[in-house]
Amino acid sequence: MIINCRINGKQASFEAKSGERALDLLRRIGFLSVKNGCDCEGTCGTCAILLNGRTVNSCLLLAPQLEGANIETSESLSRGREMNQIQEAFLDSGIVQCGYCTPAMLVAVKELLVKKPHPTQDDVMEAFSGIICRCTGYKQIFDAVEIASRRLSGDIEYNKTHPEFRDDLRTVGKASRKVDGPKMVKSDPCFVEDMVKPGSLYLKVLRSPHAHARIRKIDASGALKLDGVEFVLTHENSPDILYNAAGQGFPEPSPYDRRIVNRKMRFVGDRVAAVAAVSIEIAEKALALIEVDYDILPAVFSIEEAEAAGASQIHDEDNVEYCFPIGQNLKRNLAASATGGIGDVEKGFVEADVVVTRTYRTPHIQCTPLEPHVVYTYMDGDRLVIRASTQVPWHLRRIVAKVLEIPETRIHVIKERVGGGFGAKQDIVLEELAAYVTWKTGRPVYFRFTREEEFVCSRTRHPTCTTVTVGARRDGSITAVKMHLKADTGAYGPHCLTVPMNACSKSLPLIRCANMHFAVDVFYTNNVIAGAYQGYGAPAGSFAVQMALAETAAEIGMDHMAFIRKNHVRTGDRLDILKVLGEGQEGIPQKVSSSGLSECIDRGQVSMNWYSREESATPHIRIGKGFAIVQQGSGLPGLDAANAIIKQTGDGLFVVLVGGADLGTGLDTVCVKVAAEILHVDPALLTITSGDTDTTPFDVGAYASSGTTFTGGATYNAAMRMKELLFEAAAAALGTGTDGLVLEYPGQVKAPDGKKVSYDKIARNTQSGKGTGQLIATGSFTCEEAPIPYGAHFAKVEVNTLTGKVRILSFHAYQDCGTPINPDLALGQIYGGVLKSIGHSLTEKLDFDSKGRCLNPNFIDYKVPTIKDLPADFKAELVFVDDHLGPFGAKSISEIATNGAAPAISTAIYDATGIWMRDYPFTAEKVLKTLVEAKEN
Amino acid sequence: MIETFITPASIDEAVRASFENTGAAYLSGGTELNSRAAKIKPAGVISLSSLGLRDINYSGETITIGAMVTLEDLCHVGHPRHPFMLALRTAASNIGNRNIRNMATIGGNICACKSCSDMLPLLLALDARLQIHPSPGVEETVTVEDYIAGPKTALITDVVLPVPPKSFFVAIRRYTRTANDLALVNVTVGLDVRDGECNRARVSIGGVAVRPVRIFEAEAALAGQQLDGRLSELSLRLESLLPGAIEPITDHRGSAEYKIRLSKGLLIEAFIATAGKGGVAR
Repeated sequence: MIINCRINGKQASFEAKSGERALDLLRRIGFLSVKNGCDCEGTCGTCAILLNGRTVNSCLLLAPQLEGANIETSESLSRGREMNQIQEAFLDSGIVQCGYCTPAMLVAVKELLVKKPHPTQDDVMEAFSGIICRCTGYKQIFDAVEIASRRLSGDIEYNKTHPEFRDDLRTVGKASRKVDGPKMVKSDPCFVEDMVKPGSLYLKVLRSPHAHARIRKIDASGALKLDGVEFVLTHENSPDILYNAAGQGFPEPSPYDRRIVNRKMRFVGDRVAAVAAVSIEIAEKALALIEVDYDILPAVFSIEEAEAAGASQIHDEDNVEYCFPIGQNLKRNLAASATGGIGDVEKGFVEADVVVTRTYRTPHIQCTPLEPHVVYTYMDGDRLVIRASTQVPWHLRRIVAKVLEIPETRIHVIKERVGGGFGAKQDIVLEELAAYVTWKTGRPVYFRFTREEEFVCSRTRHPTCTTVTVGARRDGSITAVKMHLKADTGAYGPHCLTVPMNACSKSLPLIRCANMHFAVDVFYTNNVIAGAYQGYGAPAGSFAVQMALAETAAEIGMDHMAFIRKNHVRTGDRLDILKVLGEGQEGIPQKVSSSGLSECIDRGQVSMNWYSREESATPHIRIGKGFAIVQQGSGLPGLDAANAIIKQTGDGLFVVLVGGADLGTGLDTVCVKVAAEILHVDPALLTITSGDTDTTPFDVGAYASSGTTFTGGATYNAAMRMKELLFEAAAAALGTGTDGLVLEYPGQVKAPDGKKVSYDKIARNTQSGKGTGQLIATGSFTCEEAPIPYGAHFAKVEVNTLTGKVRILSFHAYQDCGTPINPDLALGQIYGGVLKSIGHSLTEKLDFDSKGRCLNPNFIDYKVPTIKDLPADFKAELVFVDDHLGPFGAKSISEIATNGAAPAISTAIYDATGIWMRDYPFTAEKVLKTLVEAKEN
Repeated sequence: MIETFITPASIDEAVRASFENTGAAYLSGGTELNSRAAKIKPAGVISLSSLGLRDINYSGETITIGAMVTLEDLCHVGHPRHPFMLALRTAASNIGNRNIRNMATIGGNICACKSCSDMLPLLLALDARLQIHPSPGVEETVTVEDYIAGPKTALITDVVLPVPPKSFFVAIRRYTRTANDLALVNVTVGLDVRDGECNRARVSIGGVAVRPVRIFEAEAALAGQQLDGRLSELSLRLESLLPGAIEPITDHRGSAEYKIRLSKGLLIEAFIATAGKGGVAR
């Protein structure tokens, strides 16, 4: 049927089917700002448009419902290349991170400010109540709306004041707009899904309905006969190459335990077959025509079942290769194990007045980027191009080269903007499959996970079970700490050793104690695949250790905060425990180069009014406070590496090329600012290309909180090298030596005698036919020590003792991040990390039935926080410390933010009610059950 | 897959279209029907967009809400300033989120009749009636209770709320995991309180049966009772009778046992809050 309506002020007329979704229609006719994050269940809001001035989900509208309507998409905000006030406000507030939900947020603000030019906080919350964002923690939306509101009502110059650091620096430590922000707020095509050309093949995967089964027979002939089907892949024609999907540095500490398509199915959702067809509908039809005969095997669904005697063996030795041993024992389903320690814990326990042993558990938690895993592959001559939404472009290239058995020169990976990664996109979850089909067929292939696939076939946090034993004297000194962590890696083992190791290496070194011991045992199960997720095991380790310390404090009758103050690490401490906590190799002990822990605790003590007890007006509501100290790393010393190139343009400015993968975290912005600071130029005049394996240099990628320190550090070194090159060129131009030359803003070299030469002139000199060649500087970054960020997170909660519901009243996060390169974006990282981990603490958990089938693979039943779930009093502060390891003394910022919520909230629940919640999420049902049991005892 | 999209111009046309296209469903906002998670997948839809039905009319005794009035509009109904209208706003604002409420209609919400509907318990407590068109040329008035007990296929054109006396107070209590969640259990308590005495009680709960239900045992336990100073005693009574009156199921959202506990907790909260509004002392 023909639909007539107005779209963005213009009359539009188009053909649509009765049942076509407005979302699909709008994307089909070129409005790419309309996203799809939930597969049209109507829960995520990223497809929002204005329908007759009201924000609605276009996925819940049929195309004919647009008849006669006035439609506005996010594209309506820009006028040509000009941004409007709302878009500018988004950039000035720091709210834009990955940018995937930004178009939806923009239309929501548009509606809001038309209806309420001066909205209240509640108005803002209602306006955004239908949009899920997992990056930002929503907090800076309030700033964005305020800035837009004030400017639109005439206060053109209005801006929020962001905290500033380092008076000695021009750019670093001050807020500036995200370099990739404009294209996101203008809703320019910048995601993989925006690149797909007509005529591409669509890939769909037949998924195993059984948790553990061997394929006896598979017959894909029916699918192959279907018109429009171009390729079918089963284990019968799958390349016989073992690999691991983990995007880690080579040689990886993860087992090569899978082929593209395996014969044995190891979880509900495992790949049985893949079909490439000219449309999604045909591909899905073809899947139904594949006949599979399964030999169903007994399955194991928990750590306990996996380690039990006689448990079904999930992987056999013939099908697994290791780069080096990681303590595996496949007969016992042990994917990896490690143990080690310092001092003598048994002696320590003997010396203790009290020995507390407790066990803590954490569940499957999904990363839930709003943009699911997606890839677009095609041939360019004899080269394979992979347009990817990835955290690890180089590991992706290496792994695809291995699986396809082709040289890396045949592959070009282009990282597009990433609509949320959080760790899930550190793995090669779907790229190698699409790449293989393109390589075999020569056809462009588009492969995008459904939301259900994203929940089931992507990566989750490892479920863990951690027993911690703490020995302490009544004076509050800790004599020994022992931690035994067991983890469930699921069907395959990406990150199987390293995530659990990180749980220990980011929690034990927070405490000063001479006797410490750890053990990790990681088991294969027939559950979904665990992998990397922001924090990388540290949230589980932090929960166990911080809780055990709190319970120990209670046992010895000491105030929790006093106990922590007495025992936490300080600047200059030597962290010997790190020697035994490497990633499958010997670790590097290091000194604490700086720690803001004390100040973080001090600030929280004051802002939370720590020692005052609060009562609710209604007796069944109890209020309590809790806190936890946290740490992370800033990349992996001795393992990670980054490189950068800076090239001078003809007018004397610079192009920065880095291999790092900006996931919306602001890494590109960090690199530009670092370069601009050193080179004394306006950062807005520089440009950056990143994450492209042809044009930018090698970088391990975005994980382990390495971005600012490693990629930023490489940029720093490249800029320092460029400085030398500028001096040499200036000396030649001035006919002097390089001694005493300095760089001056905005882009000139000054000699001691006051003579100056501009970068512009240097560029013209060096790039002329008589010149010495374009100035191109390279820099690399590796290290033996990386800065450790510290922090303290505080929660005030109320517990409803009739329903068990826990509500967060206040959450204050104090983080020492050295010199924050970009304070507003740094704060956004903290808010986002904290809110995610509040979600993990209270509601997020994948549930499975007795056959291993996921019961809640959608946003209807897997509940993530919305803007209305923000703590009423939500605050993050950056605590400056003087550090010297990272570029300009910067430390990592985002992963650490996920480590505090669970223990802070749990200790607050204890303070409120006297119960210890030892496994998160602290659902109302669980809390109420524990309350009832405590009452009965 | 939807193959036909019909946009009738009148109520009669709509009802006739429904009879002529047996596989077609009425489409109002579409937030339920068009969702991938929808339980029913009709072969065609009959859009109600051209029927109007978007007015709210007030007479002395009743308030008539057009079936196509959106939940977002209900969040802002201002007149008359009667406490129960505030409850109507609350019930509407408890549903989904702004994006959903901007499309979803009160008629559609009733038809969807979710077990945990946030609107239906209130409509039950308010003795709401529906103007419906079950077949061409037939117009009837039925209670919400009767409508949701049936096939829920008759076209709803209006929701009619009898204006309760000024002494009628309502409180809604619910539990959700996040703000953007269906209620696991929601409880509405309505009490007509004069001088501390309860003349009429309405207790309705969602999430504990296939559809929201009135708890007649609870209503009977409160009707005619002097409430002043007896809230604790009556709370215990409500708590004890509740397990026999509801039959929640265990699912991945919560165990039956928890839902019963939760219902008790929310019922007590709602009862005490309602009585408090009616000036009853604990």
